Amino acid sequence: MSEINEKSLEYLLSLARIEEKDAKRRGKLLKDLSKILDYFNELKEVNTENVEPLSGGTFLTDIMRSDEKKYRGNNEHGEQRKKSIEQFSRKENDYLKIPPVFE
Amino acid sequence: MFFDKNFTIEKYRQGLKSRKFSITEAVGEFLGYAKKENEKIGAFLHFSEDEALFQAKEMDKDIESELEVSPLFGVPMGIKDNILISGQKATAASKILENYVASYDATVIKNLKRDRAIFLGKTNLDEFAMGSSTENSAFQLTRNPYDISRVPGGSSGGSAAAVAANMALGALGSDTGGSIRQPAGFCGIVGLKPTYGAVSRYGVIALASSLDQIGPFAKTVKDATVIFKSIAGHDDMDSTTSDTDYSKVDNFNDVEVKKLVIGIPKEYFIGGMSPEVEKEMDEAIGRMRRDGFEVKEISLPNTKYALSCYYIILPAEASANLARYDGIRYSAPAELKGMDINLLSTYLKNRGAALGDEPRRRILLGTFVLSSGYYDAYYAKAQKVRRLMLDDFLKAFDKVNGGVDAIMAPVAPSTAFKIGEKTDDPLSMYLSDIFTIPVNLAGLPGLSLPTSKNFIKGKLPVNFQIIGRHFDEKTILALGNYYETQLING
Repeated sequence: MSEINEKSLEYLLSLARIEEKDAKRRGKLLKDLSKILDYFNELKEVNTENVEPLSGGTFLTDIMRSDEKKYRGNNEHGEQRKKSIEQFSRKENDYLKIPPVFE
Repeated sequence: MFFDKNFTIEKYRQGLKSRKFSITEAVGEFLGYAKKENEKIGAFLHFSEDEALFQAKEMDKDIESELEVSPLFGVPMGIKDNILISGQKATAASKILENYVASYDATVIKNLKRDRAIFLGKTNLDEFAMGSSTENSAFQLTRNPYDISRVPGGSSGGSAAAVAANMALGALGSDTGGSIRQPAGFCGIVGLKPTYGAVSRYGVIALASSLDQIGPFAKTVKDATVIFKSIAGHDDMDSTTSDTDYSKVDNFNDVEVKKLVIGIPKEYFIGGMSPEVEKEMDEAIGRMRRDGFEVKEISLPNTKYALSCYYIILPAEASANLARYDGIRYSAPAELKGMDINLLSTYLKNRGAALGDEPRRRILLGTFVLSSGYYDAYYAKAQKVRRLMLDDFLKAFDKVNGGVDAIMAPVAPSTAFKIGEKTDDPLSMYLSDIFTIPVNLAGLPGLSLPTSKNFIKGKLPVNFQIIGRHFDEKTILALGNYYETQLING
């Protein structure tokens, strides 16, 4: 039995910020996701008592970089910043312009 | 054309040394050939012709002083389009990044530039590297050079096809669950997935950050090693990179190859493999045995859970990584105006219109497994199973207790499949990663190389993989080089 249905799919779509109005595509999504989630049921048979979760790929810990001052001016990072700003779809001066968050 | 199918980085360097051709001539020929072939194969998404030719001309001036010291001097390469080259497009084959131009170089690109490689262009991939056939690209299909009705594998299908079709001498890909090793196998070339932390991920468009690694494609193990050596090493910009010293990774003579004990994991051989793959694998193992290697059966008991484990962890990480693509910050796709009446509806509309089916599926899957009420049953459970899988490998490699030095396994359950064969059923597509996924979950290095040269005589290529200990690329590369040069090159 799958744990996903029309209603929960709707909720997931809103959480993931994806609009999907096409009923046929929503149906296919639901079908695919249910099938994949059903497949995951095999994990239930694995005994994981007292097993520490493996959260990442690395065994390194506490890796820090020393603080350094970065300039906005004419250096590599300044150049990078300029190029990033050029990518904004709408801007005012050097700021990214977006529609209102609250109305 | 002065190069043939067997042209390698090694031969290219010899040609340059004896001044048989100039870099400008060579790069010009490669570009001309690649652009023509691309109409059929579709390996490249865009070429950077002017830049490449400019570089070539500059390098011809420096050849006297720099050829010896720069291991990739003038070598024409293709770069997977999820890796940033400053000033060039980096689309990750997604509509949502259609017009994005990278603002900086990935560390791997900086390293290749330091060693003076030349980039011919950016290669096709599955959208955000999600897929096993490159059919999920939002822009174009890539075809297998050995049979254009078939896929090149994926997600780094463009890079694999480019090298196999002689459109470049080497390429970079990324491997999250097999995306270098499987396309290398479908296209009959060499691909290396390095240890997690061996190569900096700074400047790669992240898919699943605990699994992703960048690695090389090439025609020989030696060539792949040259590229790996260039890109590997610690990077301040990626705190997961290790400080392992790779400066002697190409000294294969240091490795007493014949003393290596090879493990064959029995769980990889219980059904699921197509007859042609099974036959090629049997023959490859037989070659090792006949040559005097100690080959023994080992057990990796949790292998069968790898797929479930991976397809929980990957979407969870991907759903977080892809949250930043909103059609606002990294340029807007042409057909979107970029903005709607309010911010929320802008996000919904842009992402709804510009993310393809597979990213959509995986983002939703990730959102689901991380959501309240399901976290423990899916995500936490998968992380525990991931630990068990790592423990299986560590036990297998435990030399003191009768462990092995390297593991030999198939790369993919079948040879390259037909275009369109698996696009309707995501689960059947996922199953084509079943042999490569465990290596990513455990963070190990895996080298994918052809079992034989039979594919030159009209058959489809079949690769096997050599899996090594963490940060022990040298052993698997030396062993791979031995297999390639001594056991099938005769």
